[in-house]
This record gives sequence, structure tokens and C-alpha cells, in this order.
Amino acid sequence: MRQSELETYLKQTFGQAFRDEIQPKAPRPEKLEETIDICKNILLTQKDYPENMREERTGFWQYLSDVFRFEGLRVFGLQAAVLFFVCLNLSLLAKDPAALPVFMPLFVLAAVPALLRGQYYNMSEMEAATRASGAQIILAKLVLAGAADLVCFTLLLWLERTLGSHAVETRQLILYAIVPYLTCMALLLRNIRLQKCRNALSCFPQILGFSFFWGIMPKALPGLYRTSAAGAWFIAFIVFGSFFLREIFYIVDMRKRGKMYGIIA
Amino acid sequence: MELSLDRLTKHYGSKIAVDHVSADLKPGVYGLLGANGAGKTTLMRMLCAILESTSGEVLFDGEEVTAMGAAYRDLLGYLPQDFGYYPNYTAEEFLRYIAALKGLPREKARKKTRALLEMTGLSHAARKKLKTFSGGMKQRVGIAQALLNDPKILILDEPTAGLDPKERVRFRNLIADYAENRIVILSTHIVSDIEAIADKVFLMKKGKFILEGTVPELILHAQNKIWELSVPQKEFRRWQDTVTVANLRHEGSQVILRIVSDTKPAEAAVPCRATLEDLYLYYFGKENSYD
Repeated sequence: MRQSELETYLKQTFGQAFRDEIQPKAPRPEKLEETIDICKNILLTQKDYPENMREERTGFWQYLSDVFRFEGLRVFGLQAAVLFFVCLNLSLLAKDPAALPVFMPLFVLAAVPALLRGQYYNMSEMEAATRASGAQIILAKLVLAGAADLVCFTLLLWLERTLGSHAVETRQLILYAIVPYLTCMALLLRNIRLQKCRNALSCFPQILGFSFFWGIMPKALPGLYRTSAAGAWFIAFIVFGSFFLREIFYIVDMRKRGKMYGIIA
Repeated sequence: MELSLDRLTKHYGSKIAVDHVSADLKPGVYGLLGANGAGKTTLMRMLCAILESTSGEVLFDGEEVTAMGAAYRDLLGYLPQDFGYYPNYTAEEFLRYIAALKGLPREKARKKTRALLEMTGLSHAARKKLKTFSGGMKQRVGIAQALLNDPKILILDEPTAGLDPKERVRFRNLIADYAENRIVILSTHIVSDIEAIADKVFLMKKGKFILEGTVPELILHAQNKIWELSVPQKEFRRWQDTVTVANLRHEGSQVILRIVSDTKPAEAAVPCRATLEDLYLYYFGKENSYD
């Protein structure tokens, strides 16, 4: 039964009683202010007043989408620039896969400006006092950088596999790419958490140092790049992957508790 | 709604920045006055839950604010003293970015951004990049971002720095209007701002509240300590070196000094009505500068 039909039926059935009792009366203007005051007082005296008054807020995924809107282009652009730079060296990589780890820290380097942008522009304090905790801000940017890196690595490894004239197995190539990346990222996150990395510039030498380290490794330890050394790479993957995961757990835990991450105001 | 500071303390190594500060704040405007290094900014950061205290706690309706986490920061609007900005963002983009951090849904953020740009007189510059803004305009953007989530607790560190007198008056009216059913805490260089809008003032020195009360209550502490004295021009320097001179004006060959002193500085000195600025000078006159 529609509303109008229901009203007609009630009017017919109850007549005057409907008009007097059931049909809503217009508010009395002289009582309006008084009613508003009573309602205000009820809300203000309730213990969970802020809970009641809280307006709609977005969740993490909406927040991530907002971060993508503001930071996405920068993060993806820098990762694409690094990928382009690495692709310029594909002829080197095609001949010598041991050169692959040298370039991996550069992908971490590309994420630094986004991760430390707040500190660089002196925005950390303002950002830290918002609903999104410092940990949430970092986590969202890491998700974006991680997604971009995943695409870049897949493309790079596919090119390496397709163009490469060497006999290195795909899984070993993956380890060549992932181990230096995880090592570098774990160190960067640890430094941010312990506030040793206050701005982007102070992180650059460390990351470039890692790149240099992986550059001299084939000369210092050529055996490490033989097929028989796959086990050593796998162990390194487990160890540095654990360090990386530990840092991620710290961030996730701090995000859950709404805490800062590596920020002292 | 009550924000309580319970023996709040912050140490930086051996230096005590905030020392067992306690207060109960209910809706209203609270002014924080103190010299540089008095601990005001440290206190404000602890109130915002972005700096952990060494001991003591901040409670919102009986709940510890750091434990409340995002739920507390959701109620908070904060304008830091020296805040930065992303230079390539327009004012509108910047506010929408902060709105995203504050968890405002997009449509709501868009409406709120427009309303706040209008309220702070920045509608005409909404699409201009922040790097082209003057100091006063940036400050107004800072004030606008603090108000985005319609905060129940508004903490403003030097909000009127860089604003011209007209903007300051507009800001004062805005805050006075806004403070109904909200807690507003502000520290400022400009004593007259606090005098005009604060319901209660805290005078902070060496990390402690040395005085607190309404403006008339505080001014009583400076009563009978403010004097006016007319001296010849040539004696003016000597007086300035020996007593705290709050103000001076030239009248012919004489200089009229407004002196802050416990005792009558000269036989010819006449007592006059104290102001909050006099009180400030009474407590901090010997220090280099104030904020």
C-alpha cells in the first residue's frame, strides 16, 4: 500500500481522530529553540559525545586512493624514470646478469622523495596531527611504490629473459633483483623509524653506497654469481626479507594503534 | 567535554621543557603566554598527541589521548608554529590533501574547502600555487586546514603571525565565534589578541604555569606595579637602563614613561591601570623577547 493510499484509508477509518492524533503537527516556533537546546544538552552530557557527533570518515582504501591522487604521479613517474635508465643499460644486463643488483637500489631511491616529502617540506608536524597516523601515511606510499616496483621488476626481468644471452635461471634472476631491493628498503625503513634518515638527501648516500657495493661484488666474490650459489641467494632472500617484513609489521602495528612512525615533532 | 592535563612533564635529556603542568580545560578560549623557551610549543605538541610526555598524561573526557589515537586526532585541529607547505600545490589542492589525511570524504572535502577558502578570504587565490602566496596568505591557509574537520579541540601556535591588523581582527572574531562548545588553545606573540578573546590565560615560565586566570584576574597581579613618569629627554636613557619601560611617548621636551616596577620608581611617578601586556612585562621584562 502506498503512503497516499494509507493516509486516505486512515482518514476514512478514524476521521477526526486521525487529524488530531496521528497526523503530525507542525512544530510550534516558540518551542523550537527550547527543543534545540534540550537536544544539545543531551548530546553534550553523553559520555560518548564525540563518538555520536563524529562525521563520516574514509577508510584505508579510500585514503590510499586519495594518496594515489596526490602522490601517484610522482611515485610512478620516478619509478618509470629509473626503469627507463635501467633499460638504457640493457645491453650490459643482457651480457652480464651480475649487473642487475647494481640497479635495484635505484628503485628504492626513487621512492625516497615520496616517503620523506613531509619532512623535506616541514609538513610532518601538521600531517602527524591529522587522523591518518604517520605510519598510515608511510604505509600508503609504500603500497604505491611497491605496486610500481612490481610492474617495473616484471618488465625488467621479462626483458632480461628475452634479450639475455646468458644461462642464468629465471628464479636466480629474480633473486638478483629482489635481494638488493629488500636489503636496501629494509635499511631505509629502519632508518626512518629510528629517525636516522631525517630527509631525502641524508638517505641518498646510503642507497648509492648499496648500489656501489653490489657493483663490486662480482669482482670481489665471482663465485656468488654462479648457478651453484643459488642457495646463498635464497638464504639472503630469507634473511633480508625477514628484516623487511619486520619493518612492515612495525608500520602496520603502529598504524593500527594510530601512532607516529619515525617522526618527532 | 573536558581536556585534562595531569602533571604533564617533558624532559629533553637534563633539560625540563614542561614541568608537572596540570589544568582542566572545558569549552572556551585559552591563551598561552610565555617567553621563548618557556615550553609552550612542547606543551602544545603533547596536547596534540604528536609528542610523548616523559610523565603525566593528557586526558580527553577521562581517556588518555595517545591511547585514543586516531579517534582523538579526529577531534583535533592543529596549526603548528613553523609549518611548511608543498609549494606546487594550489591552496585548494593543499586543503583537499589535508582533508584526505583527516579522512573527509571527497564531496565533503570539496565543499568544506570552498567554504574555508571563502571564510579566510582566499577564494580568489584558490587556484594559485602556494609558493606565490604572501606570509599572511599562507598563515590563512594554515588556519583553514586546522578547521577542515570541524575540530572540537583547536590548538593554534602563533596563529596571527604575519596577519595584518584587519585580518587579525577577523581571525579573532572567527575564533571567538568558533569557541562555543569547543576548546580553543592559542599561543601568540600578540598579547592584545589573547586579551581580546581568551576566557582564561596561562602564563608559562620555565615549563610551569606561574599564573592562570581570566584577563581581569591576571591584571590584578600587576596592579600597583605600573607607573607613569614624566622625565626630561636627556634623562630618558638612564631610566630605560634602570627600570622596565613598557611604553614611552614624547610630549614637548619631556618623555612620558610607562614603568613596570614593584616600588614607586620616583616621587613624581603616578600609578596607572595595568594591562595584560604590563603583566607580561612584569614577569618577563628582563628576558630578551617574548612570544
